[in-house]
Amino acid sequence: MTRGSLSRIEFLKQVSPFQIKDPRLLDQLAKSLQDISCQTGDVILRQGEIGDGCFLVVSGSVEILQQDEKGEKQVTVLEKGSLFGETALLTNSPRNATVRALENTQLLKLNKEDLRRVMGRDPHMVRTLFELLNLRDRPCQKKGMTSQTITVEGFPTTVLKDPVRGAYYRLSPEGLFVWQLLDGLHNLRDLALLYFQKFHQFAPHTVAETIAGLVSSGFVVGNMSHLDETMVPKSFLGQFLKKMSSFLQWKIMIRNVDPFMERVYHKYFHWFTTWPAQLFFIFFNGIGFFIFFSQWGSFRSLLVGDGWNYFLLLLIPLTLLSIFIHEMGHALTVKAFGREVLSVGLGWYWISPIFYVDTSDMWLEQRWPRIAVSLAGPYVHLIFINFISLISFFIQGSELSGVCLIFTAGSYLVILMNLNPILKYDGYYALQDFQASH
Amino acid sequence: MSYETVGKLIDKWLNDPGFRSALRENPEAVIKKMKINLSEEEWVALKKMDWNMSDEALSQRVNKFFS
Repeated sequence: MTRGSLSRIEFLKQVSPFQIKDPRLLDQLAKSLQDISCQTGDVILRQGEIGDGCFLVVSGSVEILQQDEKGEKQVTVLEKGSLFGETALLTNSPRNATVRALENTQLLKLNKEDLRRVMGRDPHMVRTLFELLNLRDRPCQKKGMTSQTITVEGFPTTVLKDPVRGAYYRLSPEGLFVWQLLDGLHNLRDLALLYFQKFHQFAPHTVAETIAGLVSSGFVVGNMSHLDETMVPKSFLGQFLKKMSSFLQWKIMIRNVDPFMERVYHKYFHWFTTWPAQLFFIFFNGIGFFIFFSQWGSFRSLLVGDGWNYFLLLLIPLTLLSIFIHEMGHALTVKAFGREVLSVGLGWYWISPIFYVDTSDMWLEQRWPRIAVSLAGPYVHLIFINFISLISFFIQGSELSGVCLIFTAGSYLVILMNLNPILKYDGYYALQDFQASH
Repeated sequence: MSYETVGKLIDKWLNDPGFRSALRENPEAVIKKMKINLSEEEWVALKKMDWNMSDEALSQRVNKFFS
């Protein structure tokens, strides 16, 4: 190891992204660095150029200059130990600033290929560089987002909605302030200063975390949105788990169902949410339970009986119909609250087939309407089951009556499973909303 | 704390990872060490600083049918 290489290693150990624990990797990195000397006023990078490397300031200082419609302005000054030029490499985009030496400056240059190689072997470096990418960002709101502010228990909360993806994001008043400033012109420094002016708090971390959350959720376009995928190391285990997850949980989605649901609700079901209707169905369910349990003896004899009852085939259409009614219960309750049904569909969830309704638009409502939507599926399902139970009563003694009882008993169990809060079904969402403070 | 002081602190926060983690762990100690004069009101604001964001992405609500 040469003396120059040793001094580079000592220097790298003090520079945040390059504090690599593996001595061999650190040695390789040190050898791949190239010395560059600059005189005062030398332009090292020019805004708009394609980047082929990033730079470390060994001594001296450089200024970062950005050109906009008002002219060129100094963004910051970087001194010994600072890294610059990494954004263009990680995002595959042109240089976003010009860098000029403020004095005689010594730099170390790392080429893109060498950076990729080191990143692939050091997760700490990847994390630190991505953090730097976020800190030096000028994030911008994604176009077409809508927002709605709701007051819950006296506190205003804003929910952002991406109508195309059907995605939602909740913001505190502080988060909303930051969101409103994300115009692609303000950097984190500007935003943290404006935040201080508004809330009298030194909170760049809060601003940075708000932006990072919005970028990773796709509501804001930032550096991380343009990440060059070839620069991101991928672990075999991570890729395997991702594939397994997509294999065990997949969905076929039908979009644009909301106009249909809207028509169905207003034409046929708007009466369902009235008090007289609800009182009637509570009474009806009570009768249904009573009839089922009054026929318990005949149900038990069905279970121990012999021979194949061809009427059992009726269980298939009855089950499909109950699924349809259950899902319509969720969808039409969403419409009762004036919200949008984003999609319906079917798929596979770990060990069983699933049928579903995307009720995410209920995030724009408070918790009790959300709970009502979650419980509406099992509730209308119960009405249907008890209707079948009533039929079994009128045709007692027949083979068809036995099928109705088997269906009723099985469906009660299915409802209990749907209400189980441990599994991510209706009961899970209802309990989650019940515990939520908003 | 003047506007200029805040600007300098933000610059340091942006460019010094050690300062970022120190400020998160013990903001009072960092401010005292840097000999920055804070008013009574600013000390209160610093002490009640909320490091846990309440802002969050809302997960997709998929009401599935267990069969």
